[in-house]
Amino acid sequence: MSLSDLPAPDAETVYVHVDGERQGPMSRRALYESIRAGRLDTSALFWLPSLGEQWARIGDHPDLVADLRPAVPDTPFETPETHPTESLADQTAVTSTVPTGPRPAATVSTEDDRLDGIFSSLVEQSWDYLQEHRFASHIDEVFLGAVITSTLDAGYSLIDLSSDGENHYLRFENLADGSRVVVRLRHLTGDLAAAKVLGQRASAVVGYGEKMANAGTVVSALKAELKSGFMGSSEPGSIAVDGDLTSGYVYAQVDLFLNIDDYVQPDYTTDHARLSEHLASCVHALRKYLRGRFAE
Amino acid sequence: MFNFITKFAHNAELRESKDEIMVGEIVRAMARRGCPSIGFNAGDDRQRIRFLTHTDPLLHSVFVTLDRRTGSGMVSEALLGSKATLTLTAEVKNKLSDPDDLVSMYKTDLANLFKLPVVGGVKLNHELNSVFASRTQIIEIGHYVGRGVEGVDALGVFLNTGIEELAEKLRPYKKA
Repeated sequence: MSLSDLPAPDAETVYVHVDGERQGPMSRRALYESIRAGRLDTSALFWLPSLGEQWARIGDHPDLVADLRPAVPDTPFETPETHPTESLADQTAVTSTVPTGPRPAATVSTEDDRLDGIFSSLVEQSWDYLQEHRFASHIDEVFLGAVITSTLDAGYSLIDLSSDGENHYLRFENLADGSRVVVRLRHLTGDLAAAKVLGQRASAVVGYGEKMANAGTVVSALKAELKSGFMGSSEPGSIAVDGDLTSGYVYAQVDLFLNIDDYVQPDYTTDHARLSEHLASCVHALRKYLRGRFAE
Repeated sequence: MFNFITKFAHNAELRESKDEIMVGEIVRAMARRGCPSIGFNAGDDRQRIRFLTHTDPLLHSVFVTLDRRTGSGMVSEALLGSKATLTLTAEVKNKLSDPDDLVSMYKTDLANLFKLPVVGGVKLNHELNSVFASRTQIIEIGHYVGRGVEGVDALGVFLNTGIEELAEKLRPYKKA
């Protein structure tokens, strides 16, 4: 089996998979030196860009390091008796020259290693696929946690957390000044196919509320909420007003669509600073609106 | 359409929200540890959050369950404080498991059947490719909530210590 588009000897584009752990990127020269030094077995799997989505066994691709070998063989890598670089076809050719008796132990071991390697890569690949599906399904919870962390960093405390299976609801309070922030999140691309086509999208409602001393203000907010109810569907940027007679809070809320990929990377790295800034801008705008409309 | 305010329980007093405040601080403490939340299960008095420990070479995930026991009322808080049970569960996941593992772990499961849930004790369990260790402790929420940075730091130390202890119990069950 030969490889096409081999990278330059010192280009660090090769990955290897050893004992369940991925190592790299490394150059082909570094890979060859590791094999020569006995740090890397040729039964290990490797990957480079020209292999696409496949991993391959080092021993099946002698051309991977052929141009790096010295003129005179100096390592077991080139020794015919224990040639670990033989492909399955090569092994068949070697054993067919043996007239009788069992296969040489070294050949059996190599074949055993090769099949073990394939099995391991199948299992490994299956976990990668499963992880991809899991990431698509639980990224909304990752984002929810990021919203909690960013809002706490802005000086608020979480005081309510609930979910109805489709939406997540969060309520925060600034314990120093009593202002509140409410967030409703709905993941719009919960399956892998939708996420791959559209990206990770979420519908969000962000609200800012303050306690009103005057009950009339709350009633006025409730009337405004009734008017909001006549709006056919929520569109980004439309500010609605809501009031809560029980607690005396009046809220200004806005609908947004968010791209979760802007905040959470596939390796779960989260840009809390960016999220904090975006939430702060919402709170700032809503606070101005609320105070302008319901100034007491 | 907009009236999602009604979705909240509207706790009359802040003391009723202490467990939620604690949950928020737990989420932030775990985020600082590099562990994102991947599951929320919130009830009236019981909150369970799952965190992915993807940067940890040993653990796969950690569950934190906070179960409020006292202090939601003014009298009980004054008399007993805000006590809760906090259960930390750590999970090790092996990418391959075979029948021998299941037989071996079955013995542990059988032993657990007769083991009373002693507070502070570590209990092992398994499901398919996962092995779990958990420990339940009674905590005073007031030690961590409403004490500013000092409380937040104490919570971080508490979580880190508990998770490290469970990780050590699980280390023998992690395959290479």
